[in-house]
Amino acid sequence: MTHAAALALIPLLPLAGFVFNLAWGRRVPRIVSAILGCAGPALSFLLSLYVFQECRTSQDLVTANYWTWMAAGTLTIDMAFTADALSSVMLLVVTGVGTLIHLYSVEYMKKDEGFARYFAYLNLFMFSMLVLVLADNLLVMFVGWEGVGLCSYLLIGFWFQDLKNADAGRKAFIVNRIGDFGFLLGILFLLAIFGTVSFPQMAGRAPGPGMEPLLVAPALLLFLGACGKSAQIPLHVWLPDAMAGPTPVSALIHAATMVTAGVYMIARLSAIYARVPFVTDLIAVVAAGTALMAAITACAQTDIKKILAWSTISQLGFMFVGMATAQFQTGVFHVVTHAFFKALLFLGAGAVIHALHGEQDIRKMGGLWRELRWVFIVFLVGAFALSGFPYSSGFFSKDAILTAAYERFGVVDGNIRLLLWLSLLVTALLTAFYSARMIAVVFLGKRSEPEEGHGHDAGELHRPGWLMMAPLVVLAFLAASGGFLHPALDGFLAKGMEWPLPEGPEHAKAHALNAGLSVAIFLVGFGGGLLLYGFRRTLVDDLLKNDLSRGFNKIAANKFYFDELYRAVVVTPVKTAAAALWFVVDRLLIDRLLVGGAGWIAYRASSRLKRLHTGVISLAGGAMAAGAAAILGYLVFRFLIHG
Amino acid sequence: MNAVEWGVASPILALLGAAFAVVAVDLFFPRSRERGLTELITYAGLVSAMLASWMLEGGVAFNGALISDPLSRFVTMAVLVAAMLATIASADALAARRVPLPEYFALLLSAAAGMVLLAMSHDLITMFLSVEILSLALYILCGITRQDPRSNESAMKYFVLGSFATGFLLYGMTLIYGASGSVFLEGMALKLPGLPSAMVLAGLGLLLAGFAFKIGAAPFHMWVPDVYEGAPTPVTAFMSVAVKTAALGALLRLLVSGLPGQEEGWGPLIGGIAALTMIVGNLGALGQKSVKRMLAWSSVAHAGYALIGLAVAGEGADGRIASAAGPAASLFYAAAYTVMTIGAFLFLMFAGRAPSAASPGREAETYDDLNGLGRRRPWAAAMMTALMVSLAGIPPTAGFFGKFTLFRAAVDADQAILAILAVVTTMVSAAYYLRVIVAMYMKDAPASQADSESAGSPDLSAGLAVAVSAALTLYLGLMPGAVLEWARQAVASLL
Amino acid sequence: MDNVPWLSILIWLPAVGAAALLFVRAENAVRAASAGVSLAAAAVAGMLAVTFEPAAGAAMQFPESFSWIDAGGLDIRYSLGMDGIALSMVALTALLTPLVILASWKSITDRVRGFHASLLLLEAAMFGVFLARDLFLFYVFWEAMLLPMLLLIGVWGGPRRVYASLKFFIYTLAGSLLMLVAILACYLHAGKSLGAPTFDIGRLAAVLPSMEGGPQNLLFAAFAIAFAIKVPLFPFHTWLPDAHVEAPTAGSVVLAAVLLKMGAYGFLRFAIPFFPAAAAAFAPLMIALSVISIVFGALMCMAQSDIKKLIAYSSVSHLGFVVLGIFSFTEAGAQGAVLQMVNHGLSTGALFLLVGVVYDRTHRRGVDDFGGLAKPMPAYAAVFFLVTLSSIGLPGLNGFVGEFLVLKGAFDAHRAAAVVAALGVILGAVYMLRLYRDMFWGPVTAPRNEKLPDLAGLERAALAPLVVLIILLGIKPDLVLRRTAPAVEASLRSVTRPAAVEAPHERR
Repeated sequence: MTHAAALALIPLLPLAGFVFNLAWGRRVPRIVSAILGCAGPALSFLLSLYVFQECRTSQDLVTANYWTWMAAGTLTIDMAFTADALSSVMLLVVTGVGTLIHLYSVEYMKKDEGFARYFAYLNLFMFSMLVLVLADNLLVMFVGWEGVGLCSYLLIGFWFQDLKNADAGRKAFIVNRIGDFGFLLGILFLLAIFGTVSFPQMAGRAPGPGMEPLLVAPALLLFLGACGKSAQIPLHVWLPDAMAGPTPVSALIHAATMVTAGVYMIARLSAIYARVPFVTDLIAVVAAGTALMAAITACAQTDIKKILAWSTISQLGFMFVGMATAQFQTGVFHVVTHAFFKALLFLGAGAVIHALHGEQDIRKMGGLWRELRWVFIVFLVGAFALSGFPYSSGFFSKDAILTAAYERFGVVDGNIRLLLWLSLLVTALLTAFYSARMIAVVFLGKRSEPEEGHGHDAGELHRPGWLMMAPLVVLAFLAASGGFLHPALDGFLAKGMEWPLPEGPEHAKAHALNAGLSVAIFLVGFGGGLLLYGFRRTLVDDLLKNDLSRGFNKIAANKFYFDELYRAVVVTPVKTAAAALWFVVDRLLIDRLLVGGAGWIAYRASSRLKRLHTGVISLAGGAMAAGAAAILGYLVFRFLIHG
Repeated sequence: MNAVEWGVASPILALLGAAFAVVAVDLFFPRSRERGLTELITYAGLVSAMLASWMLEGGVAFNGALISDPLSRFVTMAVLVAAMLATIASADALAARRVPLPEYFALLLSAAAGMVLLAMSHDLITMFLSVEILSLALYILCGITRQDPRSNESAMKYFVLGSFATGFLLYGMTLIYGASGSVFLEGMALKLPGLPSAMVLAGLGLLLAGFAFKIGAAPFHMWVPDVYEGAPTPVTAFMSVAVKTAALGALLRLLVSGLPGQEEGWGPLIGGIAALTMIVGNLGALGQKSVKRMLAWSSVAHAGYALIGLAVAGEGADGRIASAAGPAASLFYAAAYTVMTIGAFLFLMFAGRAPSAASPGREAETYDDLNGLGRRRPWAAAMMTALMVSLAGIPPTAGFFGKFTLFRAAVDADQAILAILAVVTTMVSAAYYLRVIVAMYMKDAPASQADSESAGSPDLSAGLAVAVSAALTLYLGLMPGAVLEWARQAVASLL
Repeated sequence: MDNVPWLSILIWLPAVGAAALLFVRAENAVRAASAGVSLAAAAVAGMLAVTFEPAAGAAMQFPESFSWIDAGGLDIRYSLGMDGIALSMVALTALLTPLVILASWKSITDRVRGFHASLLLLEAAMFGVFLARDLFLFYVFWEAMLLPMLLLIGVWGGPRRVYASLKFFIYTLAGSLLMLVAILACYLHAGKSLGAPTFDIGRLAAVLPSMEGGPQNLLFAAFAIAFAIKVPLFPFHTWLPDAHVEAPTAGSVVLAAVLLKMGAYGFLRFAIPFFPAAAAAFAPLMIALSVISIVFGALMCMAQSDIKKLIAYSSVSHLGFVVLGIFSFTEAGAQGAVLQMVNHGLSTGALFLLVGVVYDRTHRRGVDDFGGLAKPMPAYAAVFFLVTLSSIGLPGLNGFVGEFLVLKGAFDAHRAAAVVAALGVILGAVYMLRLYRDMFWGPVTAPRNEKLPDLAGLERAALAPLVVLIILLGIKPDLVLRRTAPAVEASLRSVTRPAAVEAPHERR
C-alpha cells in the first residue's frame, strides 16, 4: 500500500462514516450506524499502525502531496499530508483511544434518539483530528484545527433542545475563534518570514541567527491559538462548560485528543520555539499558573465531570511546561499518558453517571464501590495514574516534566524562576489531593440518600455492560503500564524530531530528586485527601467554618470569577457598543442626517421656491424685468471691462 | 419670385394653405364641423409641409428674408412631428369638450407655420413676425376650451406676459439694427465690429431675454406652470415642445450667423441662464401633486439642459463658434425632448377615460390617478415608463443620449461644472419621475376608481400618439447616429 | 465555433426571452419559460467556462466588436470580451438566476409575467456589464440594471418597498452619473493623447495612466464613489439594508450575489488600471474604509433582530474584505478578493434563499419569530449550518480561502490593516452563530413553527448546486484562481506597488 493512499485513507474512512450516518443514519437500524461508525476509526487505527511502522523503518519522509490547494502570486499552499515520529505517535493515540471511545459510546448512547447523528459527529471529529495530526503545513493543520473546534461545538451542543448546552458549545467555538485569530496571524507572520508554512520546508529554511526577534511575534500568536484549543489562561473558560456534552465526548475531545492539539502544534514547531527562550519562558509562566489555578479550582468542584475538566486544564498546563522546557518529548509523553488515564477517568465517570441515571453531583454519590466494583477498580487506576502513583504512567510523564522544569528553571540558584518549579510541585500535590477526594466521595463512605422528589429511585443502578467495560479495562491497563513505554518513545521521538535527550550525571541527580519528591507528594496528597474526605469528613466542615477558608473555597468554586470578568470587560461592552453604533452612527448620523438630509434640503428648497410661484402675473413680470435687468447689468459690466 | 423661392417657402405655404382650407371648409360646408374633412386637411397640410421641407433643395429666398438649410429643416421636422402627434391626439378629446375643431386646427396649423417661419427666418423682421404669428395662435389655443376657467386664465397670463416678452425682443432687434444698420443676418455679421459695442450688447441682452421667455428659461419661466397646466393637454403638449425647439433654432441662427464675435458676451450669459433654469425647474417639479404641473416644471428644467449646448459653444479664431458639438447637442436634445415630453403630456389623456356621448372624458391629473395603472393598462404603463426613464436620463433612451452629448460638449469645453450641475439636478429629477413609475406599478388603485376606470374605454387616438413618441424615444436612444449627424450638419451649415 | 458571437448570445438570450414572456399566457408556462431561458443562458455560460483558455493570459477571449454609434464625432463601439474575472462573475450570474427562478416558483404569484421579465432583463444587463469592452456600452448596461431592480424591489417587495426601491435607485444613480462625467473626461483625454477619442477599455487602459496627477485624482474619485456605493463601502452602505430587507427573495439574492460585486469589479477593471497613480494615492483611504466596513458591518450585525438585515450588514463586512484585498495591490490579495466575490455570491446567495424558505412558510423575518427549527426542519437546519460555516470562513469551505488570501495580501501591504481585518473573523463567528442558535436550537419557541414542513423539492434543487460549490471551492479553489490569475495580474500591473511588500526582515 502506498504512503499516499494510507495517509489519505486514515482521515477519509471516518469521513465516510460521517457522510453515511448523516445522510442515511436516521433510516437504518442503530446497529448499522454503530458498526459503520466504529469501523472507520478502527480501520484508521490499523492503518496508523502501518504508518507508524513505516516511520520507524523507512528512511525517507512518509509524505503525500495531493493537489495545490491555493496558489496566488508567490504563495503556494499544497493539500499535503506528512507522517513523522511525532504525528505517527499522535495518530496511534487518536485512533486507538478514539476507537475505544466509539465502542464505549455504542452502549452509552444506545437509548438516545440522536444515535446516528452522534456517531456522525464523532466520525467527523476523528476526520478533523486526523487531518490536524497529518497536516504537512500550518494551513492544512488549520483545517483540522477548526474542524475539531466545530465538532466540539456540535457535540457540546449535541442535546440542542436545551439552550444551556447550545450556549456552552457557542462559547467554546467563539473562545476558540479568539485563539484562531492568533493562529491565523501567526501563520501570516511565518509566511512573511519563511515564504512557506510547510513543516518540512520551514525546517529546511531555518532563518539566520540574526532573526530570532522576528520569530517572537509568530511564536506568541501561535501560542495564543494553542491557549484557545488547549484551554490555557486566559482562554480556558470554555472547557468546563464543554462538559455539557455527552461524557464519552468529554473523554475523547475534551481530555484525550483535541485539547492536546495546542501542545501538538508547539511540538510541530519545536524548531521555532526552541529559538525563542523569551516566549517559552512566558509559556512556562502561563502554563504553570494555569495548572495551579485549575488544580485549586478542581478541589472545590462538586460536579464529577467539572472536577475532571479542571484536572484536564491543569494537566494541559503541565504539558505546556514540558514544551516550555524545550524538552519537547516530555510534553508529548504526557499527552500520551494523559490520553490514557484521563479518557479512563472520564469513561469511568460516565459509567457512574450512567449508573445513577445522569446524576453528576458527587455529593449525591458515595459508597458506590460495592455496586460498581469494576468501575471502582478501573477508576482507582485512573486516579492513581493522574496523581502520580509510582510506576503508573502518570508518574513517569509527570516526573519527566518536573525534572525538565527543575533543570530549566530550578537549578538556577536564587532565581525567581525557582518558584515555577515549586508551583508545579504544589500543583502535583493538589492533583493527588483532589483525585483522592473524588475517590473518597464517590466510591467510599456510604450512599447519601436522595432527597424528596428526586426523580429516580436511587435503588437500582444501570450496571455497565461489557461494551462499556471492555474499553475501560483496556484503558486501565494502558494507564497503569503506559509508563514503561517511556524510554522507547523518548528515543523514537528524539531521533525522529532531532530533539536533544538530556543525559549525564546532572540529569541523573535531578531525576532522582524529582522522582523522590513525586513519591512523597503522592503519598501526602493522596493520603491527605483520603483522610479528609474518606474518614474525617467532619474535619472538612470544621475547616469551612472559618471565613478565610470559606472565602477561599468560594473563589475556587467560582473558578476565580473569570466568566464574570469577561462578561463585564468584553461581552457586555461589545454588545453595547454595537447597539450604540448602530443607532447613533448608522441610523442617525449616516442614514438620517447625511442621506436623509440631502433629500430634505432638496424638498425644503423646492417648497421655498414654489412659495414664490403664486401665479400672480405682476410677480412673473417683475421677475422677467429683474432678469432682463440682470442680463443688461452683466453685459454693461463686461463692456466697461473692455473699455 | 422664382422656383427656388417658392421651393424655400413651400412648407410654410403648405401649412397656411391648409389652415385657410380648413377655415373655408368650415365656412362653406358647416355640416362637416365635427372633424372628418377638416382633420384630414390638417394631416394633409402637415404631411405635405414635411415632404416639402424634406425634398425641396435649400437656399435663400426673398432677398435673404428666408433661408432653407439643414438647421431649418431639422427644426421644421421636429415642429411638424410634434404638430402631427398633437393632432392625432386632439380630435376626440377636444370635440367632446365642445371645442370648435376647425378653428382649432386652423390655429394649430398657423402656429406651426409661425414656428417653421421662425426656423427659416433670416432677418430680424421675419423673425419678429414669425414669433408674433405663433404666439398669437397659441394665445388663443390656450384658451380654446372656453367654459374651462383654468384654460381662460392660462390664455390670459400667456398673452400678457408674452406681449411683455415681445417688447424685449423688439427692443433688442431695434438696438442691433441701430448698431449694425442692417436687419439681415449676413448684413449684421458683416457690419458689426468684432469688438462689442454697448448698443450691440444691450440689444443682445434684450434679445436673449425675449428668447428665454419663449424657451421658458428662468427667470422668464414663471408663466410656464400655470399656462401649461391650464391649457388643453394637446395644446400644452404641442407648445411645450414645438415653441422651445423653434425658438432654440432661431436663437442659434441669430447668435451664430447674426452676431459673430460676441460669444464672450452671450456664452457665459446663456450658461448662467441654463444653470439657473436647471435648478429652478427641477426644484419646482419636485413634490407636485399634479403630474401635468410636474411635467410643466420639468419642461422648464429641460430647457435649461438644452441651453448647455449653446453656452459651451465657445468662440473660435474667426469669431465664429469654436465647435459645432455643443449647439449640435442642443439641437439633438431639443429633438429628444420633443418626442419624450409630448408623449408624456399626451399620456395623461391616454391614461384617463376617453370622452363618450355620456361624459366629456377625464384626463389623469394627479399621481394618485395613475395608481395601479400597471395592472389596469400594462401597455400604457410600459410606454409611460419608457418616457419617464428617458426624461430621467437613463439609457437606453433619447433623454440619456441627449444628456450624454450635452455633457460631452460641456466637458470638452472645460465647463464640466455645468455638467456636474446638470448631473446633480438630474438626480433630483429622478425623484419625481420615478414617482410616476411608483404610482403605476407599486400602488394599487382604490376599488372605486378601478371599476370607474374600467367603465370608460381608453382614448386610443391619444394612445397611438403616445406609442409613436415612446417608439421614437427608444429609437433615438438606441440608434441616435442619424439624427445626431443631422444636427451636426445643421450647425455646421451656419459656420 | 470560433466565429459564433457567444457573448452576444449570452447577453441577448435573456433579453429576448424577457420580451417573449409578454406573450405567454398561463402563469406556470411563464415560470417554465423563464426557467428554460435562464437555464439555456446557464448552459451557454457553462460552455464558455469550459472552453475558456486559462493559459491564454489576460487577453480577452470570445471578442466581438463592431461600430454602434459613429456620428457627431462620436466613436462608440459594441464590443464584448471576456477574461478570467469577467468569466467568474458571468458564471456566478448564470448560475444564480435559474436558482432564484426556481426559488420564486411558488412564492411569486402576483404579476408573474412582469416579475420574470424583469428578472431576465436584469440578467441580460448583468451579463452586459461584465462583458462590455466599450466604456459607453458598459455604462448603458450598468444603468439598464437599475429599472428592473427597482421594479423587483418595489413591486414584489415588503411593506416599505417603495422607500427602499427609490433609495436604492437614486443612491446608485447618484454614483453612476458622476461616473458618466468621468467617463466622458476619459474619452476626451484619450482623444487628446491618441488623436482619436475612444471608449475602448483596452486602449483607455493604455493611455490614461499617463494622465497628470490632479485630473487623475478627480477622475479616480468619481469612479471610486460610484463603485463604493455599489459595493457598498462604509459610509455609502445605508441603502443596502433597506433594499435587502424589502426585496423579495429573488431580488435579495441577485442583489447580494451579483450586483454588489459590480463595485469591486469596477475597481479591478477600471478605477485601478486607468488611474494607477491616483489609486496608489487613495489606497490608504480605501483600505481604511474597507477595514472600517469589515468591523463596523460585523458590529452592526450584532445589533440586528431582522434576519435579512443581519445578512445585509454581513455583506458589508464581507465586501470590505474584497476591497481590502484589491487595494492591497498584491496578487494574493486581489486573487483572494475575486475568489471572495464568488464565495460571497454563493454563501450569501444561499443564505437569502434559505431565509426565503422560512419567509414563504411564515411570512416573518424576525430572528425571534423562530427558534428550535432544527427539530421540525432538520435538513433545512443542516444546509443553513453549512452555509453559516461557509460565511464565517471555516477552513475547508469556500469562504476561508478567499478570506485568507485577502489577509495574506493585506498583511504584506499594510500589516495593521490585516490585523484589524482579522478581527472580523472573530466577530463573524459571533453574530452568525448567535443567529443560528436563536433560529434553530433550543425548544421550538412558537407553536406555529411546530409543524413547519422541511425543505421541498424545488427548494432542495435550488440549494443543491450552491452546497456542492461551497464544498468544492473550499478544497479546490484553484478552479477559480487558475482562471482569474492572468487577468488579476494584468489589472494590477500598472500600479506602483507599496514598498511594504518585500519581506519584513529586509525592511529592518
